[in-house]
Amino acid sequence: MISSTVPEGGLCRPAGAGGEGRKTLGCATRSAAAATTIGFGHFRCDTIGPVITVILCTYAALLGAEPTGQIAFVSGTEQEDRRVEIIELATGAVAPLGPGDRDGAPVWSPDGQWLAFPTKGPDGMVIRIVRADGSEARNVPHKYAWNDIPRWSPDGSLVAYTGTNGADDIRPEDMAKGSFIMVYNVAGNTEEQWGGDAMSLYCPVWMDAGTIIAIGVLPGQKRLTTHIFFVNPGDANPLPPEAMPSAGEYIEWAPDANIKRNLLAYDSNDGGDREVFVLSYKRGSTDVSNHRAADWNPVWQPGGEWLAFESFRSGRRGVYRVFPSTIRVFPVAVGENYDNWHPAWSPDGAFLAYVSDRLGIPQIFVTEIESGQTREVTTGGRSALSPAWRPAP
Amino acid sequence: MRRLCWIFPMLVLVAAAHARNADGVLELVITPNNGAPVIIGSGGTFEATLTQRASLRLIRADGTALDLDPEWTELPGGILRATCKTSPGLDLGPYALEASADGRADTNVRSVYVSEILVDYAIVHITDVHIGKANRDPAPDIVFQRLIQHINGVKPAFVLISGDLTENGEPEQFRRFFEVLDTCVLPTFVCPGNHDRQGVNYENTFGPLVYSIQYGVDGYLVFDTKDFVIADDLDAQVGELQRLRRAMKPSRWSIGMTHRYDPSMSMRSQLVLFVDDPLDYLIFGHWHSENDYKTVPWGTTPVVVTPAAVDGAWRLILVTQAGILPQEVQTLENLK
Repeated sequence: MISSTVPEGGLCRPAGAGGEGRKTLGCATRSAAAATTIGFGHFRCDTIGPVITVILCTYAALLGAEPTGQIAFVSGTEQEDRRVEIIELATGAVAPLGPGDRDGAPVWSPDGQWLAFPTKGPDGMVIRIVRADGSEARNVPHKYAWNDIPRWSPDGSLVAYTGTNGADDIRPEDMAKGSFIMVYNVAGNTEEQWGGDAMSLYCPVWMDAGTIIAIGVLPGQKRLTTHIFFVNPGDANPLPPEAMPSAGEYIEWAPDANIKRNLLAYDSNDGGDREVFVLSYKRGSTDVSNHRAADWNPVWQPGGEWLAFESFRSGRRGVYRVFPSTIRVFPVAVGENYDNWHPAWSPDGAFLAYVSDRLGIPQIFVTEIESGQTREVTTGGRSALSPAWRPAP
Repeated sequence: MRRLCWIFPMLVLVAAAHARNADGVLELVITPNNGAPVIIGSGGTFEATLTQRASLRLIRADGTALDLDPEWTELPGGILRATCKTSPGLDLGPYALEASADGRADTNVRSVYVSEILVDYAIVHITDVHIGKANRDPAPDIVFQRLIQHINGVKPAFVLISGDLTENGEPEQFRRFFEVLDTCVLPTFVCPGNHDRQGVNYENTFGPLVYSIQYGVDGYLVFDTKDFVIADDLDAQVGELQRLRRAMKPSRWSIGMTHRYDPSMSMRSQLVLFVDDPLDYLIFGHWHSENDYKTVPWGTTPVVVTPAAVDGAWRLILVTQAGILPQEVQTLENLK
């Protein structure tokens, strides 16, 4: 239910807090759209007196764009009652979609017609794919008992995920050979293992229809370490050393691919503390978050210009965004005594949905990027977690 | 000897107090409690969390009371944090924390310990108590009672109890657990195990699933590794772990306690605890046996695994400037 309007970062922001490179001082309306609505779409705010600027920005923000579409999320207080649901942002209507027993983070197919998410299986976790209207659902056939982190291929014909045996053993040699990239063919209803079984592979993301990027776990001298791998149906090959920030044994995690611009974001403890890096084929890896507090879980804006990520730079877990080309970081949702996490972009890149426990129980909020205008999307006594915004049809 | 002198007053305190609801559920005061107490030096400051603003008093075993004048902070979800400063002359010993509001009173026994804070000290680790486990002779309650009696004589600084407190996480089992727990004369810190997870019964009984303890120069991070999808990345826990871990960085030793270390535990949690700012030690149970492996695979954090208390096992751990030194596992003799 869209029940309230809470300005997160104020209605107006300093220059630069809106769109990177924009010169419109303070007028934090995303929005060309909103500004045009009230008849000053071509006004430059820096040509207006401060008082008028405040009035116009406030007016524009009040008329700011409403988030639209649907968000899938996980609802539930305990693992045993966690269920994937879909909320219609315009009406607040919620429809259950998952079986409701340990459902995990949902991921939309690129065309927005299907959802994939982990859920309880007979002896572990299975990947379940469900049509958005609930008319069809199936559990993916699986070789391994524990399956997690599904990711759709760019054309929506395949789903990659991690499959493991879930061994209750902490021997490093087992952990370095215990997790595999599995690929499900939606049309054929078949599962295939990619990348071989020479090492553990986690966190698959698609770079193109035939290539997956994954985190490979390697046995180190004293401890496990990781590297980023290209994964193909037949084998897995590490990225060249010059692609990484520096030589040495570090642990990369949470890759996210920007297919449009051929970029890869990931987090790594390379350099001492955990930072968000962007890897481009021309420039190698660049630290784009650079703060002594932990930064992690980068998520590309659908347009590919901005990265959202989580950071502890304010003391609590908050959602930030960065323009990687200039490494300028802006807060999106930050609190003094509560956390915000799991950012998910709207299809047009104008909003970020995320989870916040500002009211005690974690709920989903949406913030309009330019205005900072924030709305509570879900309410009630059950936690709402892992939002995923339905792609535009 | 000083700690042994607490035994009689403690028993009087336990008998006299009206702690929790009849079914053992926490009322006004969430923390501290007998599973997550605070240990402070004389004149120290501690924090309490409550469901509403209340008058707070510390109650000694002899019934004398000390009024507190806390500073209040509102937290998300309607929870209030009371920062309580005690007077420098406060006698050493255990105290109950009493809260009064709207004509009702709530008393958490064994929740505040005023103690001489030692630099080198001993702790006791017990785990997997399994109150309510059927077909055990002697019953888990009896074994636990004997363990607590034994540990009362060992005189550690405090006791860590790393989960599977109960067999099924039922309120009645939790009530039986802390009936025995409250015969301990030492501070007792608990965390949940996979057997304790039935709805929110654990949270109703002991409060937060993640918390930290500062004992002198050392920091302890107590966290939950849930069953099935273990400490997954969906909820708030990994953020709490990162924040508390960061706050403990200045500590001499940072020591984790959980019920279970498992490679399928949330990877982000493992990065926080064992890679980015590695804990110095990790103490856990779950296996009902000792371990052959000395460190977590993602880092160099040594692990200390103690066999099950339901089988009479416990372990003394020395915490010194040279490190933490786990002693050989001890087992109660003549269990039958």
